[in-house]
Amino acid sequence: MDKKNQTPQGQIAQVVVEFLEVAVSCIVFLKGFYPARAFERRRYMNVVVQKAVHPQLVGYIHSVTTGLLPFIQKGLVERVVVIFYDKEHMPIEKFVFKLAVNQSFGSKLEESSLEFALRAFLIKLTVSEPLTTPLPSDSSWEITAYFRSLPGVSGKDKEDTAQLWIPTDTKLWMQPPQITPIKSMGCDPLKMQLYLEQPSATEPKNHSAP
Amino acid sequence: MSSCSSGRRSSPPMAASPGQKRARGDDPASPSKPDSDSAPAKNPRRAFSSSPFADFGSYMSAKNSKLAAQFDADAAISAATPGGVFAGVSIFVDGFTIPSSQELKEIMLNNGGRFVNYFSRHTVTHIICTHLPESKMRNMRAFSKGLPVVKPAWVVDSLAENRLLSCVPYQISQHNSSSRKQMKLSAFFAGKQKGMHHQGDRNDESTDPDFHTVSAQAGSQDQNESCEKEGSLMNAEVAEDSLSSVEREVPTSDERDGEDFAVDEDYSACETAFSGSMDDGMDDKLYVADSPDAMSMCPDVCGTGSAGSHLSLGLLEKDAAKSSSRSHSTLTDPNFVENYFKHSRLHFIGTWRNRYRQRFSNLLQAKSSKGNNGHMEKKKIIIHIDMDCFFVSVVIRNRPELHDKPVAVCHSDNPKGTAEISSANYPARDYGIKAGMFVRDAKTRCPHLTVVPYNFDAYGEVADQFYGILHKYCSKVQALSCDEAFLDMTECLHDNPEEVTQRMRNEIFGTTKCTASAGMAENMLLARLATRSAKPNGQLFISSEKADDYLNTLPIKALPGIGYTVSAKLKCKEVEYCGQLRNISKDALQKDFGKKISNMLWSYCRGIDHSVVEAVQETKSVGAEVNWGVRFNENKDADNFLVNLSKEVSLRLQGCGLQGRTITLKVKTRRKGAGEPVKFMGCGDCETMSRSTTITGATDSLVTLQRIARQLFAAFHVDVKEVRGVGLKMSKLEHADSARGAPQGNMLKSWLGSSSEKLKNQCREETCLLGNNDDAGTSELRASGSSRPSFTGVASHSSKVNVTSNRSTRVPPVELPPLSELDLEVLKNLPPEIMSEMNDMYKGKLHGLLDMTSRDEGKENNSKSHVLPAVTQNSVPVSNAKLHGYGECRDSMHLEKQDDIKGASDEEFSGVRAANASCSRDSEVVDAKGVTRLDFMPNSLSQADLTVLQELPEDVKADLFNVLPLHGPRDPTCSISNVTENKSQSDGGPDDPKHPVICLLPGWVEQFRVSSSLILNAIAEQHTNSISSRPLSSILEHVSSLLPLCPNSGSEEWNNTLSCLSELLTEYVHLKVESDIEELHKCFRLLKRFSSVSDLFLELHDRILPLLQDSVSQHYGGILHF
Repeated sequence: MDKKNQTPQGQIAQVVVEFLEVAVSCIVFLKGFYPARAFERRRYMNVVVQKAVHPQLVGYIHSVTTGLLPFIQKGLVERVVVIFYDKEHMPIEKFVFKLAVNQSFGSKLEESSLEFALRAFLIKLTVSEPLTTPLPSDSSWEITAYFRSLPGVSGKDKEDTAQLWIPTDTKLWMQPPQITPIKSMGCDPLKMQLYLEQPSATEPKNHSAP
Repeated sequence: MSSCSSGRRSSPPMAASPGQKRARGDDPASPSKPDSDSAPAKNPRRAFSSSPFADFGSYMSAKNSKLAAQFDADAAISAATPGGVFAGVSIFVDGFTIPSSQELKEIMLNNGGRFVNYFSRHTVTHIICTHLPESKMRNMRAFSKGLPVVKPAWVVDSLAENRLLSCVPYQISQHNSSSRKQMKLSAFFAGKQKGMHHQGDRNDESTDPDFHTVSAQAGSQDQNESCEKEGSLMNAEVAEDSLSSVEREVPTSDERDGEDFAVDEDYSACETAFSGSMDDGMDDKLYVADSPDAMSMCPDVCGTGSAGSHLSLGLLEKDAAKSSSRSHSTLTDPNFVENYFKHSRLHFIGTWRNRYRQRFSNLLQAKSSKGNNGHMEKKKIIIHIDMDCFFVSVVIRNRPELHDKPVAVCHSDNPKGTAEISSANYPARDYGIKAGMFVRDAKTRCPHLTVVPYNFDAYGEVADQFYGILHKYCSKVQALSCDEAFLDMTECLHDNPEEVTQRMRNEIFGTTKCTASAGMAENMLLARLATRSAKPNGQLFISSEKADDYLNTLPIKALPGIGYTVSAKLKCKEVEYCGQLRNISKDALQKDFGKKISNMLWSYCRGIDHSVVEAVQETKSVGAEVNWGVRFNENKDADNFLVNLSKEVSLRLQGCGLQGRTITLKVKTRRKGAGEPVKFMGCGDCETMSRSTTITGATDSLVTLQRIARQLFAAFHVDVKEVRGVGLKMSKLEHADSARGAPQGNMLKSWLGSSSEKLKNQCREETCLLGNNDDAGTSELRASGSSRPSFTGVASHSSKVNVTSNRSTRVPPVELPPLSELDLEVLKNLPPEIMSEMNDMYKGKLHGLLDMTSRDEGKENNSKSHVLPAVTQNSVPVSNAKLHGYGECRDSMHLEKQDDIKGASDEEFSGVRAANASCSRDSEVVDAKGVTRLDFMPNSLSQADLTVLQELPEDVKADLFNVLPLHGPRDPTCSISNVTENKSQSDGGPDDPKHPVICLLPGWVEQFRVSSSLILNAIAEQHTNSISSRPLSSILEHVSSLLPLCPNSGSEEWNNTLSCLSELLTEYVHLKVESDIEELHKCFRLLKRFSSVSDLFLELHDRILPLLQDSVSQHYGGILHF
């Protein structure tokens, strides 16, 4: 994190990763997955956000998001999804960050404008609780990243980070999900959209069926 | 087929061991011989065994004989008269029936029939069952062994009538079931039920009115548009159209002889009868039908007798009502593509086949099941029959005064016109007039040539009659065109082919008043050639002996498939007749013409043709192409055209019940340097390009087609001004049935397995069905009435579909996307394992759609019941309801809020807007001002006439520019550049990083501003007020206060506004879908809110929503949730 990235893509990725870490914490808090005392109020980009205090939780979120850094920088990551599962490990809700980093963006990044745009996500996120479905008991959650192509093992230096990633066994919905947009931004070097995917009303309820 | 006699009873019943069945399954000789019954005793396997039940077969035979003995004993007790109703009938009951198999057995016992417990080809005469599983349906023959499979109602009805009824109407046929299934699905597509009802005339009728009335309207429209046509003639045509549509309603009867329509005798009468609206016309007809005059007016209606006419009159009323409601949309929205195809002869021929297939599918089906029996040893007799100059003779069949005069059919009667003659009668041909000739050339050759317009309804009608007769004589008919067919008489012929043909031709003439020529030979080639020689109105039999002589003198050009090039090449070698061609060896031919053509030449000149008469030909592709009158000025025109073309193709696909995977777009562009074509509006010398794309899931959806057509068109990068023709084609076709087959199968299962929520919905729908049986519903029910017993099983399903169709017809203009499309679109984005689970997907979609429609209607009633079942997403419907409330009562709160927003924006941009007069905190005032000013003063110079401006005195000019909100005091001479500058100003700003989300659709503001619609003007005004660098949603937000400006539904302004707005939104969707669904979501929420108050926005919303969902599902694999 502290290494100096020279390219604008590196800078963007840095900002995005940081933002994702905060946003994921906020989402987990928002869903009330853990008791409220597992979080503490912090300020990020001048917005009040919730940060996890439990070291393991912090560690998980941090490692996942920083692990994404090289791939975001290369524009390989298409979506970063926070998935909430029910007890049969069937997704019941997904928070999708759809990313597109302009690889040909050459000029100097105005970090402030990027932050300004990202701040809107956090603000919108804090008030989007009514859009979500309440979690059932025995639920779980995870962060999944969707790559445009599989991360290659080409770069020696990336090997360790690439191996952190395991293929997901996320079950898929049989119906196209319902999408509720939360926030979109189309600032030039970075396009990001946050939306909610929920199973459609007609999604069969008995998941045990093959 | 029934081979059992009552005498069989005394003989020991035969066994039906499985092995035996296999061994003699197809032995046709044995069943009728009594001694064959003892065959099982000689079964070698049995001879080996010492114990009575050494193997299964012997056990079964013993069991069967015992059962038969018991049955006989019972029969003896019940003291049935030997000649009971069911004497000679032996039934086997398969599966659950009503009445039960036990009851059926009882009936058989008491009425001299037999009841067999174990099926055997040889003891059973009828199989009784209510419904069959798919697999048995598909292999009907294998299952039934050729025995009739009838519904139990046959037994019951026969008993009631006390005579053995024909079992044909009770038969379960493959065809019935499949068409029923198709109907269920197709009923879903509102108003597009065309072609889905295969079941018979009655259904045909219900679809026909659309066709007819629309074409009649088109006719009258044309009248306005084209000055080439004589008013009276057109009128007469309209009248005739409606007349024939009347006739179509009447179930086809043999009584319908060749009596004249009143049309020709009494033009004026018809004109008055039809000059009013369609409704009036129909009423008149209903009225006069009782008076004796009516006999001459419409003999057909009267001909069918009172009962028939009652029914048809009822239908008429209904159809008339329908047509009048329809006329609004068609008349107010003239549509080139539609009209083009309505007036295209090629289109008529092209689509005629589907119509034919639907109409005669019963016959085709019956025939194909018999087809395999193959009497190969018999000498083949093929008849080729062709109507004589069909397109002319049909039109003039009721105008005998024209029969011996030269007549040609053409769109236009303009003597200088370049319209092409499509058909000319024989007197005209004597003048050298040929098809494809321009009218002006024809007129120079024959100045007194009568040119008559097409009458497609009459063509359809005559073609139907023609094929009706052919099918009566022969079961193996290959339709080549609407007026031309091959008949394989090998099996059907009992006497002299020439006599039969003569009778057939006489009947055709008697019925249609048009002549036909026929050729007979032993293969298709010779038959076709014989017809050519026989024409006009003759017949020729080329027996195999005469074939050689005939061919010897036949010019090569006459052979089918030999065109200009080949014949020219042969002519170079001084080969002009088939006889000469025979002297050339196959190898020599191959050198010159390649393998395929040389083979063809070689065998054709010897009269060899191995092709077989095939009744059903698979459709390979479905498409539509327009190469006449295609001229675009801007991209918008081309886009609009593509949309219409896609619509046409989509309709055709749905009409055939097909879906395609490959979409091909063909574009003809003017060849460089080619001038304007000789033919008026023709395509001239063109370069043809085509591009295609294949998608994963087959589709017939309009939205998908449109999207892909647009993409393909854009990929050509052609100048739209150069485009002379466009064709869109779907290939890799699949049956819509099979594409959705799997989901259907599981319908019931998933329904049963679904949650209580679904059940609740279901109940509601069913009550709906009971409550309002409108046309669609009842006709649907009536159609399936014949299969009442089976109806119970699928009641839930079909009723549901009915409801859907009802709903969607009621919700005024909703263009619901065909259900399939959504599925298939989504399919594209799904991994393959999910594909297998499409079933549930389909079901779900259906539901989602239902929910949506029901939500659109009666909000108050349903919103409650919606919140309850939708527990999983509790908060959303609530907010939805809130939205509704919000939209409905635009109270002070709302206004306040708006003021706030406005105020804020005002502050923000106050600097820029200082000069603007309409800067005010009170939005109401703004509006009032805006409205009043709109009436007097154009908002921009683009609206003002520049020449006028230039003539004005300087001081007036200055004043003017001060007043105009968009222009400061500037020099009017540079006003043009002002305008353009303004435009770029208002659209500019995408570079502004702070406001990246900007409408960058060029020119729409200008367009809105100059439009005649108040609301558009106001929107444009809003846009400029907000300094344009804002997303569409923020502009829409302000629209709520402008809603009272909405034009009335149906007016021209309404249409303009709607098309402008929908165009803007469509572009906006395309623009934003990838990057900003939040914005689109916002826009559509706003639209939805407006739609509760304004019909315009309701229509707009419903029109664009499918597109939005389609694009969203393409990009995100899901649908937006509102």
